[in-house]
Amino acid sequence: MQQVIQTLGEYIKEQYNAQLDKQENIFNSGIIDSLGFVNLIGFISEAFEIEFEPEDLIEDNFFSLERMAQVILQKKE
Amino acid sequence: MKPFLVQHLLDLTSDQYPAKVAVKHGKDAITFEQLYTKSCALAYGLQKFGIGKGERVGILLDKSIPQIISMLGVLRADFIFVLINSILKENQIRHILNDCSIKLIIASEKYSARFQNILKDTEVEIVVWESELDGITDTYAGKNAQNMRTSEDIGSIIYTSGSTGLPKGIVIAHRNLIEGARIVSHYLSITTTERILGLLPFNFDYGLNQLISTLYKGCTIVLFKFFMPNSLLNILIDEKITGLPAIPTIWSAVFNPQLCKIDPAQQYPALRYISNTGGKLPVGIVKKIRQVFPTTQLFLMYGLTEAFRSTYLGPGEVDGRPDSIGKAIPNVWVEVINKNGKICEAGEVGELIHGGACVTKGYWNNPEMTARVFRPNPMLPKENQFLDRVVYSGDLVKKDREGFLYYVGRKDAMIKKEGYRVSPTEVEELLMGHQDVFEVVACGMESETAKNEIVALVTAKGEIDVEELYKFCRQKAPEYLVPDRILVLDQFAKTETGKIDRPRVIKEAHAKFDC
Repeated sequence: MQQVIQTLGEYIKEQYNAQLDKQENIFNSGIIDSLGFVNLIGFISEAFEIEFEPEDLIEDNFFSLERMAQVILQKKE
Repeated sequence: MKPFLVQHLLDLTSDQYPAKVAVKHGKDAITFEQLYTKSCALAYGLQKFGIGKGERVGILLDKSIPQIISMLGVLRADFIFVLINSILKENQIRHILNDCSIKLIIASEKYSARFQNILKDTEVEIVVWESELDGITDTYAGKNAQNMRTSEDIGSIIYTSGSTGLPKGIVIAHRNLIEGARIVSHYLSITTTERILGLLPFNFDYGLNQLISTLYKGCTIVLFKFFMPNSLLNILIDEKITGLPAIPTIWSAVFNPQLCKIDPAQQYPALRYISNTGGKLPVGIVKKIRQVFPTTQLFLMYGLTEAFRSTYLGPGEVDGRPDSIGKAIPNVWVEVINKNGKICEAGEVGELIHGGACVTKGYWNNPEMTARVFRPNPMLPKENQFLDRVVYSGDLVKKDREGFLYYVGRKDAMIKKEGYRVSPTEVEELLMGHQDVFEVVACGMESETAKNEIVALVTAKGEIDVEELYKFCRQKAPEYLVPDRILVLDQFAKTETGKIDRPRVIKEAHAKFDC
């Protein structure tokens, strides 16, 4: 879990030069827009080798780094 | 005599519909009367800071109720609001603050860390934090500021991507904002019962138009930040949205089966109209919108910030000519002119020029570019053309025999992407900042979906890592400037004088990469 969060955090740091706490709401952070979000989803799919169904793509599954990590680990199972 | 200033629209609706919800944002809502009271009190508080009339006030807040109160408070205080998008990078924000000499800014605390770096090299003297706004409006509740403005005075400066590599400020008068709202509300038949989805940002002319139309008509705007297309479809139902203004990128996400699941049985009975602007919708997408929303009227619009709003194609024409941008909106005229300044025949490609109520004032701080784009009216007798100004859009169009207009492309190389106008120079300068890049040519290319992509053609000094270049771009620039594709070439074709032969480079890249 920690490792996944760290990978996501590094991506955000690298792409947006910003630090996000693991529970911080990414949609309210003001650093990312819908275009950036599509890229983030692409990054997650590639880095963790998972395929999202359109049903997965709801704000509830992506609002924080911690929540994304949970969903990623669930999908991996 | 009212309304001649934007805030007068609110004065009138607040009298007429005091208890009605003007803005809804998630669980938060504000009525017209509250919006009136708070913006008056804020204006009074802002004037206490002692900056002069007509000063520019920066607003670095998310699309929200406090942002709207701030915009209206700034106008009531006889200042000019300048919205700053939080996804912009430090150098762009610094440029905006300096370009229009902002002394006072209203900002969200969450940007304070980023802000410290930026403020050092600016004239900003006063920062009002978002958390202080309630205190100000409570302290001065019941007060109002004195207005000394006319409808020709500046209400806002909208910063958009500029050809010099930094955003340029388009100067908009109160009159432009009011006329834009009156005209668009008229042809969309907006009434007081409308529930408009506030999907587009207010630093985009059509986004701002929705807010002003809401104040004008006394209807409701529901603020929504777009991330997931599924959520967009849900909010249409949950909030009983009647008007959905959107841009092509949003539709390409909605109709991307990997991103969005569309239930064919789902109906949208409340949704009265959909409007599109910010780029041409491919015919395939127009047809899909008609399939999914068969009872909804579709308006295809065209405009550019310099002329605020320009043309539209009404719902009765969309099925018959889905690739047209329509005809001029009321109180606006457009014409297609050729190189000799003569009106084009049907079918002849020429530049679209705009006249009438939506022509803005020009570019802040930039008389040269203003003189190039805002020119004497060529439709008047030669010696009297100076009496009126029209906007030379740089957009190439043609009209058919019935006068319907069709977008052909840009006269310059500007790339239209996601509702932004991106200058290739801006992308090129971005990439030239990387140590391994030798030369760059950026251009726009249409992809199969609705997207117009930015393609950057690059030659390297030695070894070059393309992934590294993407990362570099994202770090230095907002997402809309980042090339969708970076293609490395061995060398660029050159002209006789040794300059990069852009058309040939682009043509060769087309052939080589099949794009």
